[in-house]
Amino acid sequence: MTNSATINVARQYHPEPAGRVPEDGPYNGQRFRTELLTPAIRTFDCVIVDFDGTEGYGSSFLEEAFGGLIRKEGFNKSVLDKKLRIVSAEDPTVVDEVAAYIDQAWKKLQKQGE
Amino acid sequence: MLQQDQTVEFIRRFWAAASSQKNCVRLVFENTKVIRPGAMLLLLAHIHKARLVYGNEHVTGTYPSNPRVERTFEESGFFKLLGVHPRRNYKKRHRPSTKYIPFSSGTVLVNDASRKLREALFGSELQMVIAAKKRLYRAVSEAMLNVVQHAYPGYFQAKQGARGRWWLAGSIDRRRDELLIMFCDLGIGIPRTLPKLYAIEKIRAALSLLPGIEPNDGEMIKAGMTIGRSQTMEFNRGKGLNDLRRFVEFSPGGELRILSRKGTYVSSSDGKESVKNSSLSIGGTLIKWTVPLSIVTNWNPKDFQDDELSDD
Repeated sequence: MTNSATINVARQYHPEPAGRVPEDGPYNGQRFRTELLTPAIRTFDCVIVDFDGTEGYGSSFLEEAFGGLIRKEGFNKSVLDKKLRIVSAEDPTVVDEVAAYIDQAWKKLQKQGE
Repeated sequence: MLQQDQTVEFIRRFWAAASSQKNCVRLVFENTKVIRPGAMLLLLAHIHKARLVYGNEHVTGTYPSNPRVERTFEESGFFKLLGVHPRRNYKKRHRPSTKYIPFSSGTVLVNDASRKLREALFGSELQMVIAAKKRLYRAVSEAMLNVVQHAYPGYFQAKQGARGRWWLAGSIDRRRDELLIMFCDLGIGIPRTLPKLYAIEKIRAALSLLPGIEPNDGEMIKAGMTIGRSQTMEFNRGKGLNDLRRFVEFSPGGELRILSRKGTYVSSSDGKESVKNSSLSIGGTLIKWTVPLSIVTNWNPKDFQDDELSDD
């Protein structure tokens, strides 16, 4: 039986996340990734990240939070494909956007390893 | 002389007076018949900077005789910035088709700036489409982030209180079915920050320029948009300026206009782009998002009554 966890960004982190790093502001992508996202992925078989209820999110926040899983946390893309699900009824485009950041980070890592 | 150049020339004269005179500078608006929103925000930003640098009492102004201009100054917070007390209550006398909200300003990324802007503009009267709300948030927060990260580098001369500063303003015009959001900073400008983020070869490639050709300011802004659209994400580079575009891409009939230094870049929701250059630099960056109110909110143009009282 798979154990899963849901992270509602608005309720469990902040409804108005922005920026990459702490210097940008307190509700940044790096903090979200290190304090919530990475521990959840390491603990659970399936992690659902729900963006409904947020005022919005910028590319800087999303790329640091999710691209950083590859770049900073050392996750393999296949692990994220298996474990991570992005959901948003309010803005379905965020699903593909996050997938693109993960994919791009992985390709860049592969290229650096060549 | 282009209207934009006239505004810039006025700002230059203003700074010459502000920095050279021991007595306060008094801006006379008595004969001002019209002021474009972008010109007003730019002027407001420069005046605010001067008051921060030289003291609040150093710059003041007079009432315009034109009631529409006076109402614009009052509702946008322009009078308050100048320390001029409003002398009319337009809410009681008129039901204007245009609503301005007081500008906001800061020197850090303010997470709730977009929400407060939206709530001030629409109140409980109008609801913003959720997808539009999220794209507006992205545009405003990324614009703010660009200022915090890039617009005022360490070597850039900026006086106390003015460094890192941005200004945010908005208005709705029911008669024109228009929502206008504006954001500006008085930093070094996109044409100067872009070459620090990307190699000149990449910039030329984005513009399909031959080697050795130096892009002008308008082309630099366009390059920033193009690189952000096509470039894979690089650490600390973000999507460049492309995040600014998504709000208008969502709205048919929308337009993004970016003025930075001498350049102007315009992108419409149908994908058309254009660039041009002025002879004078605006001394920073001004971003304008114009979208149909009826597309991004539940406003119905049919609800606007032609006989609605207005001083427009």
